[in-house]
Amino acid sequence: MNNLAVKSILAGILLSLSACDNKSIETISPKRVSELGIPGVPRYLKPGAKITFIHDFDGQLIPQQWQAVELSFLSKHPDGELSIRLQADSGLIVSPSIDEYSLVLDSNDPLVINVSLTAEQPGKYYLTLFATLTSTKGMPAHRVFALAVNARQSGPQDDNIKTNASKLERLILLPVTEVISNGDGRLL
Amino acid sequence: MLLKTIIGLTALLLNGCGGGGSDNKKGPIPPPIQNVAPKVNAGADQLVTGSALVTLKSIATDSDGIISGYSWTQTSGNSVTMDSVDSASTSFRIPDSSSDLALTFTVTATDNRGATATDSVEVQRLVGIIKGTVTFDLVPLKTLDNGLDYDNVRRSPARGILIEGLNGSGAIVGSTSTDDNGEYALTVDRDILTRVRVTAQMLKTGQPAWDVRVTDNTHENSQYAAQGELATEASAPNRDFHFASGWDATDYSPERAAGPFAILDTIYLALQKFSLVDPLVQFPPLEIGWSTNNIAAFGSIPEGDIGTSYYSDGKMYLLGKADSDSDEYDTHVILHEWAHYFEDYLSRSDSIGGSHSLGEHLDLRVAFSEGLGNALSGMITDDPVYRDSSGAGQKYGFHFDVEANANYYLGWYSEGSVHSILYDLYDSEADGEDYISLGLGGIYNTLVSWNYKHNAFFTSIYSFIAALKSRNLGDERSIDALVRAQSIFGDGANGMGETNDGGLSSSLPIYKTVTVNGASLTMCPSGALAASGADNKMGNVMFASFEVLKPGAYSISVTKTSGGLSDPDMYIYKDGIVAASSTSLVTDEEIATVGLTSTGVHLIVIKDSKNRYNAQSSSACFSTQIKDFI
Repeated sequence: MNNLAVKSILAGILLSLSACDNKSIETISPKRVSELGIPGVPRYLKPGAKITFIHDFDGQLIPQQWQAVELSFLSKHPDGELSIRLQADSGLIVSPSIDEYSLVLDSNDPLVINVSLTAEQPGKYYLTLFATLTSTKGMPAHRVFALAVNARQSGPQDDNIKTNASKLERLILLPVTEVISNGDGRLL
Repeated sequence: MLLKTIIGLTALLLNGCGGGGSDNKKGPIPPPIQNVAPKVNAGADQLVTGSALVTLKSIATDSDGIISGYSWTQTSGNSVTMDSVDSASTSFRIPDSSSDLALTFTVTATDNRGATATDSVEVQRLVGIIKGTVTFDLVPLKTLDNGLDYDNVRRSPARGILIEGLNGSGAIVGSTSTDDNGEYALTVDRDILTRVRVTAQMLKTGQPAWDVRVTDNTHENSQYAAQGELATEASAPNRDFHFASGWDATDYSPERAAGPFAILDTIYLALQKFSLVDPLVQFPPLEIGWSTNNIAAFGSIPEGDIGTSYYSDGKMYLLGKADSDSDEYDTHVILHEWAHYFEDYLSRSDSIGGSHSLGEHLDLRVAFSEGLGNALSGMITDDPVYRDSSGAGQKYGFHFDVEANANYYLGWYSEGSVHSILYDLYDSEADGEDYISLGLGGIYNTLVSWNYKHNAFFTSIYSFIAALKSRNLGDERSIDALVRAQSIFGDGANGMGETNDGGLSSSLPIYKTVTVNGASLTMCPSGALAASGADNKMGNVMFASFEVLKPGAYSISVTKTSGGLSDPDMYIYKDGIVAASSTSLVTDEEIATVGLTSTGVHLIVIKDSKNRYNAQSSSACFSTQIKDFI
C-alpha cells in the first residue's frame, strides 16, 4: 500500500472519529520542532547574564505628563549581586533621578524599580538598562535591556508604519575614502 | 566552374557540327559568356565594450546575377561561437578576457555562377584592469575589560567582498571579489568611464558557494555599499577604498561605515574554515540586518527595536546602538549566531530557543544548541574566550572561556558543559580529561551526518555524542571521559541511564517510555526553574517515547492527576518533525485523536502552559495514555 493510500485511509478514519468526538483534533503539517518556539520571542538569542526583565509599560506616553513604570529584574541566582544602571536618552526625563540600583541575590524576590517617565517633546526615546550580575565565583556577566518610549499626543496617529519587506535593489551608500593612483602608486 | 565547363563543351560540339552542308552559310560565332564576380563588404571595423553581443552585417551584390551564398569564418583572435555562418549577417558574444581583444572575421559571398568575393572585418575590445585594495577599521576587543579598544584600531583587509564596475548610466559592466588580502582586479573597458562599487556582500558560486549580505533593517532592508569616482581605467588604474569606524576619539559619528564589513569579515572566517573541511559545501543565502539604530528593546524591527542580537527563521539581526550594545566588532557574538544559521540549514536543531545563560538549567535541546554556538565561535577564531562588549563608549563587556571546564553547573542541561566538551573535542590542548583532538572536521562531519540528522530523539549532547562515537570507533573512551567530566552519565541518543537530575528528580529519565495500548505514564513538567515567560528551562517539558508499529489513528489523553490549575499541551514528533499537536485551552486535560503515518519511535512532549507565567505554583502531574484505533 503506498503512502498516499495510507494517508487517505487515515483521513477517512479521522473524519469518522471526529464526528463522534467533541475534543479537538489537530493534525498540522510537518515542521521542525524548533518552529514551535516561544511565541513573541526571536528564536536564538545571544548569551548574556541570567537576568529576566519585566515591565508594565505599554511604550506610549503623552508629552509633559508623567507615567509610572515598574521595572522588575529577576535573577534566580544562588549568590552574588545584581546591579542595574539606568541611562535615558536626552529629552527623556526619569524620576527619581537615581541611576544606579543594586540587589544582593539572597532570595527569589525580584529587584523592583519604580520610576516615572516623561518627555518634553514628542518623539521616540529609549531608556537603556545595563544589568550586571556578579557572582561569588567572580564571573560578572552583563545583559543590556532597553525600553522604547513613544511620546506623542493621544488620539489617532499617522503611524507611518514601515514595512520590513526586503528590497534588495535598494542601496545605502556608505561614506568611503577612495584613493586613486597610477600603477606606480603615485596619487592622481 | 562546372557550369562554365559544360557551356564550353557544348559550344565546341555545336561548332563541330558546322562542316556538313556545302551551301549553308555560317553565322557569327557568339562570344564566350563572361560572369562578373560579385562584390562584398563585411562592414566597418568595430570597437566594442564589455561582453557585448556583436552583430556583423555584410552587403554583397552581383551585377549579372544573384548572390547564392555566404560564408563567415573567424580568422584570428580568441575563438568565439557565431550563431550563423551562412547568412549575410552573424552574431557572437565578446568573450571574457583580461587583455585586449582583436578578432578578425572574413565573409565570402558567392554568386549564382560560382564566382566569389571576400572581405574582412575586425572587432576590437580595449581592456583595462582596475586594481585596488579594500580595507576597513577593525576595532579589537580588550582582554582586560572586554570593551572595544579604539587605541589599537587597525586597517584590516575586507576579504571576499563583491566588487562591481558601473558605467556612467549605472549599469554593471564587470564584477569580481576581493581576495584574502582585500585586493581586487576588475576587468573593464579601458577608455570607458567606470566607477567601482564595493558592496557589503560576499558572493561565491561553484563549490563551495555562499551568498552573505548585510542590510539595514531600518531602511527597508537596503544593502550597504559604497561607490567611487567615475573615471576611465586609463586615467585611474588603481583605486583603494577604506571604510572608517566613525570613532573620533570620544564618540561615533553618525556614519559607521566599517560596521557591515567587520561583520562580513567575521563570517568570512567561518566560511573559510568550514570550506577547508568540506570543499563542496553549499551555504544557503544569509541576510544580516544591522543598523546603528538596532537597540536592545523588543518591538518594531523596521525601527531598530530588535531586542538583542539573534538568528531566527533564516535571518540574523545584530545590535548596533552606540553607548548601549553594539555587536559589529563582537566576533564571538556574530559567530555564535552564525552557528545557529549553520545548524538550521546544514545540520539539525530541535532547540526551541529563548533567553539563556551559563548559569541556568536549560531544556537539553536549548543547552546543546547554545553550547554549540559558543564552542563554534571559539573554534572558528581559535580563541576560546567569548567576549561581548557593551556600555557607554563600548568600554565594558563580559567574557567566558569555552576551554574552561569548571562551569557553574555541570550536566546535560548546561550550555557551559556542552561548549567545554565540544571545544575539547576540537582543540589540541590536553587539559583535564581532554586527550582527544578531532579538529573542526570531526565536529562538522558529525553535525552533518545522517545519524545525527535522522534520529528519533531530539538534538542534544546525547544525540551528538552518540553520532560522534559511531564515526570515531576507538575513541569512545576518550570521548566518554570528557563527557563524564561534565557530570553527564547517560548513553545513547536518548541519554539512557542518566543519573544527574540537576536537582529536579522529575527530569529523569530524560525520555520516559509509554506503550501504545499499555499502562498510562505519569509525568510532571515543572516550572520550578523557569523564570516568568521563559519555558526553555530544564524540566518545563517532559519527553516520552513510544513505538508506532503501524500507521493509523491514535487516541492520546493527557489528564491531570495532581497539582494546581493546569493547561497541558502535547506535541508528537517523528525524527524531530512535528507529526501532530494538540494545544487546546481546556484546563487540566488534553485529549486528541491524531493520525500517524510513519512507523517507528515517536516522541510525545508534554508541557503545562500555566508554568510559563506562573512558574512556582503549578507543577501539576499528568497521566498520559496512548491507544490505537485499529
